[in-house]
Amino acid sequence: MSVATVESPAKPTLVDSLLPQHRETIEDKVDRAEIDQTLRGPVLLYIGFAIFWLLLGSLLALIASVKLNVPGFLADWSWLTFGRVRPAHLNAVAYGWGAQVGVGVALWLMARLCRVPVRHGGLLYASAGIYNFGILLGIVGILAGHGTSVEWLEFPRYAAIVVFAGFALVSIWMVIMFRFRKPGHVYVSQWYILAAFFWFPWLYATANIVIFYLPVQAAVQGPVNWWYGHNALGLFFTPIGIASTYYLIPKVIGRPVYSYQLSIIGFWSLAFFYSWNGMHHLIGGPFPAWLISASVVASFMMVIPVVTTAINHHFTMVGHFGALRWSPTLRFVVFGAVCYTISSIQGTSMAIRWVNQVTHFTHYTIGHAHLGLYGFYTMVMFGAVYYIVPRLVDWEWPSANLIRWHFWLSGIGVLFMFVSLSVAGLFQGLALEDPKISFITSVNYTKAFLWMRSLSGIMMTAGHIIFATSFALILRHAGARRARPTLLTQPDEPAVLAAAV
Amino acid sequence: MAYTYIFIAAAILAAVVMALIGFYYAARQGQLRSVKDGSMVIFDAEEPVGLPTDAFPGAEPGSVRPRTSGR
Amino acid sequence: MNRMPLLMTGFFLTFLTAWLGLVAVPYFQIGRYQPEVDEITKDQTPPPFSGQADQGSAIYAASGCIYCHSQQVRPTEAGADLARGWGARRTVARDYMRDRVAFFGTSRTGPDLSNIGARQPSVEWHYQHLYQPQVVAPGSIMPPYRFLFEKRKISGAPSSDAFKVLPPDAPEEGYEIVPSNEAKALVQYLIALKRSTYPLPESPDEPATP
Repeated sequence: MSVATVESPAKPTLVDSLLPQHRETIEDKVDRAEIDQTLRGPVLLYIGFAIFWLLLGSLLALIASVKLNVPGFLADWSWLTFGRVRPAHLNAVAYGWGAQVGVGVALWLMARLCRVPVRHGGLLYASAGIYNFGILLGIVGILAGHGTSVEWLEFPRYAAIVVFAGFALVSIWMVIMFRFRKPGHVYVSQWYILAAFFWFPWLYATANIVIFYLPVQAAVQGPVNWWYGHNALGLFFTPIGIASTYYLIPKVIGRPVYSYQLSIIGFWSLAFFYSWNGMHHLIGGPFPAWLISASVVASFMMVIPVVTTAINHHFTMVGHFGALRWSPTLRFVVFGAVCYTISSIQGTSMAIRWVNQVTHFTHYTIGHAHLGLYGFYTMVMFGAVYYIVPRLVDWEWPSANLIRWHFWLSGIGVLFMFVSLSVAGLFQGLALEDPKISFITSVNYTKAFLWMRSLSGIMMTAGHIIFATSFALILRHAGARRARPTLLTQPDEPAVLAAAV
Repeated sequence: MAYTYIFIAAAILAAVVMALIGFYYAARQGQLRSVKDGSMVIFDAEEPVGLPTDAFPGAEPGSVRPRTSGR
Repeated sequence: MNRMPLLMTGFFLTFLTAWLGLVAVPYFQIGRYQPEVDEITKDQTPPPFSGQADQGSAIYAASGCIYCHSQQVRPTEAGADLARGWGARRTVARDYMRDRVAFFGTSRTGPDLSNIGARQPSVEWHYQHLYQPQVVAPGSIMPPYRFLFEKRKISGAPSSDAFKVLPPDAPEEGYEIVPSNEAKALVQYLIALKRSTYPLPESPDEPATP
């Protein structure tokens, strides 16, 4: 079962890791490159599958966005009607790409930070297979008309359970990995990752059971749906994104985080307040007022983790902005960190009742979602992939220009999308709030902006195609062998290299 | 019905209290002392503080190495 | 803060508070409604959906209507819904007790449908609107749902289901457009959507202030 062929001097036992008085005694000799090699297969598999879903999700997004401009476009085949393509897009990019690349990155971070060779690699291959089979079932199910129309939980029941099984295996692996880490090595990123993989299965299971397997009355489904929807973002995607920034920014520029104390406050305040978020999606809806107020308060309290994390992100960078010129990883990650700050503050503002009243049912919300999940999360993940993959395949990225094009297309694309959807949403929302303005006028206001959104989507898709090309080329070892830039010592065994993909 | 709410409110309160006790315990154990060391675990002799670890392919980071904090 | 049991306990407790507060409490508070029964007529409010309308709600879900249409009417202090004539009163939790899945929705790219059955009670209007949205509602960006309809050659008498298709989409002479079973069920569901047309004790009618 275990793929850990590298013998570490003395593996710590569970008791070692748990004893409070235990101190690091083993000389830190495990080579990073060795750990990376033991993880190569599972991480590349996860990232590879994720890129596939990213491309498919982008295509679905393009189809959906053109449909809003030209309603008759591909409308006569039920599989491609707007109401199916849109959730298929969301699920493909959220679970196929986002969660999956997050798993790949988190596996690598966890193993590296635990400083022990990977054990039970077979578990990871199995989970990747099961998880992707679940996603495939789910996407096809949605397109075939089995979607549930419960936002963020559109996968039909038969797919959701497969997705859960695949994910649960990763969670088990994470716990084992953390449990048998090298003593003394816990970094803030590990808390975030461990927590994310503890919370998400609980969250996903609760929401699916309460809404589909043992359904409660519909009125309760609203709160549960948005508790899930918002916490999937806040307690899964966000922790993985932040775990990556907390590792990559200090590592790339070679400087510890600005304030480690703040990171502790940031983590625990996120854990406590983010979990109470979500009900502000229901402001004005048929729900008890206390429920919504509790979430509005929690949304405001989110300022604490956001500001602490923002201070750490941005102050660590002070004096090192020149590094953005030479590090592709840093470009993406810092772009993501800035978007995290902006989208979090914006998110809090959207929980204010009078703001929510205007923006709630409009494209403004969709703009916010893309700023958070793409501007922040996806960009950080791109940065992480650019950092990780050369270390796994022992090869250099084939072309700096491809990376530059990818960055500018994705970065400008998502900002363009955010601006056009936000403006569209404000016009739309203000029109909807004035009953003297006819409904169709609120639709007409958005039309030009929806065209702009399609254009921004084309830019982002082009970026993804370039990214996928780079990934395919590096797997095939096109271009140059990895030399100094990645600054990693070579693994000892030549056999490992020969076996490289 | 009212008992249900009281029970749930009590459970939430108990969870918060337990969290605070855990925090207090951690502080007593000295787990909150010298937290700063934690920020250094990602660096070691091989990749020390001050060493940038990423660059565009083909670039030699030594030639563009930034000013480092020297911490 | 580096010991696994302590970390895990923290993860568990922080999340548990929210789970109890946002899942368990709502279940007890709004998850166990009974209908209001009239003592004399034995009529139930909210009324149950017919079998066909219930099937229609599945088509509603499969077609993803919620991505543009909400089904909730906000009170006057929280939005202009009542002023727009989307309902006689705000919707309350009990209005949804008959639904298997709640389509509260988060988008109003299209209008709210909580009471579409009261606003547009005509079956033919719905068929026309689903078949040719841009003709019925100029400027609309709703996609046509022609895959829910069938074009048939008229043999003998025209089908009783056939509806009047407006130009320019009318079929050529000798053909007719008939709704599929899915379309019929969906429209039955839509015309059954009259969520805030009946009074409930917890939500009296409120006058729309312009």
